[in-house]
Amino acid sequence: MMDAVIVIFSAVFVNNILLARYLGNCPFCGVSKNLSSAWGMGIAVIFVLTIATAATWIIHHFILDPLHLSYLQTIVFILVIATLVQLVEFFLQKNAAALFQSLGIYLPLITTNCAVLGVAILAIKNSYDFIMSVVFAAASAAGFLLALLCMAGIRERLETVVLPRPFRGTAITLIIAGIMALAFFGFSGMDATLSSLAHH
Amino acid sequence: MTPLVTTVVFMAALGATAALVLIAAARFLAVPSDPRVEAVLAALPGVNCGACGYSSCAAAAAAVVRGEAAPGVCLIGKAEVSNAVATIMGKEAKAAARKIAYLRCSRNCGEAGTDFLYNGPADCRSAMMLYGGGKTCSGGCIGHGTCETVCPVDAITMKNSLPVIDPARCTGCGLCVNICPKKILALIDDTPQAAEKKKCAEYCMQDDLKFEVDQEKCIKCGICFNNCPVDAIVWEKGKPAFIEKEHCIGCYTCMRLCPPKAIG
Repeated sequence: MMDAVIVIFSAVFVNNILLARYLGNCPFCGVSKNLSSAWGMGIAVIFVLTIATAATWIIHHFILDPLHLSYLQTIVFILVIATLVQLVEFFLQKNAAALFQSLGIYLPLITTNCAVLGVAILAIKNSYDFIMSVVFAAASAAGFLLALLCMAGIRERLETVVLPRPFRGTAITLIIAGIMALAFFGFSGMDATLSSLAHH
Repeated sequence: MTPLVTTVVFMAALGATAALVLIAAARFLAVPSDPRVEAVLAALPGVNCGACGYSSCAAAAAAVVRGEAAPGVCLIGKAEVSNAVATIMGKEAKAAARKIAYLRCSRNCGEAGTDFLYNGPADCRSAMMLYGGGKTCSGGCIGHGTCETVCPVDAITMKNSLPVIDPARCTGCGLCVNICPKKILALIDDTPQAAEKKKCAEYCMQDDLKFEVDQEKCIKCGICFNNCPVDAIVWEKGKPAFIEKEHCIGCYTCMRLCPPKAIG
């Protein structure tokens, strides 16, 4: 139980997927213009990351490992995630039209998001068991949502500020991302402290 | 088997499995869609400007096919678009009334003095946060030209710190109307009568203007009571209306609506 809490804390704050690992920068810059689309994107990422990590964990431990094909991990995961997202999209369109409408265009957009692949691979690398992998994926996605919402909030306020032309748009977004990453850097090491406390 | 062969065989097998699964899913989970949606979507401009009130051209096309929107739903597409959509839907084309943005000020806001010097970002939304902008006229244009900045077709130019709208260029997309913090811009039909209706009252610059109901002229209809935005009007059926001055914000709504012109 304590381990799960540490994994969640670590994934949301200490090793935040956007601000510490710097994965998934495309949506971080592209979908952070306003809060409502950031929210939609964040929810879609939570959804896709969780099921994708569950699927890739199963593939890795029941197909790749027994066949000694772990060196194909990257390409297999890409293929599996893309197929899975497409499949989920079909399924939602048929059986959960409301959810499909609200996730909208964000669902296919994340197919190629490196955050999804990154978390799937990290879950294997950290040798988590199945439950822990899913918890780790959901927490990483929650961290993604948190950082994306912060960024969208800042950028909405930034709309009214006069910026020198070269700084507008993606440039200032990356600068803000850097400053936010510095702020999140304050969390570094806290997961280690927590786990040493837990095991004493 | 060499790793090369294993890799190729494994990836081919995985790819084929994935393809088969997706083909099966597309077959069994297919949602029947109306072919007219595609056709209408193709006829729309496809710029997803959102002026029609739908989030995208696709959403507007779906609404047209569902019968929720008229063939003339598209505000920026001219007659050809609404004709094309109407043909697909098998309906008579009725062109949507062209909408244009309109500045409601009836006086030149250059006349308004300043309460204080605002020294922040030159953006109306930002200026609005500080006591609603520095002009003495509390309802009028702040004049930093945020509408000019957002206009995608350069139809707005700021002259004497008031927006001047070029009706020939305006596409009626409503971006300026939505962004104006003073709500001083409005979307109107492109006719002189419509402009007159939306115009603010002449004496909008008088400070602390509170209204009164002429109790003798009042026909007790209750229109003012039903439309007052701040519920400052007391009225019961069969009794003349009465305005509570401490709540009145001087918005002119009742004055403009009153049938016998009993409010002033």
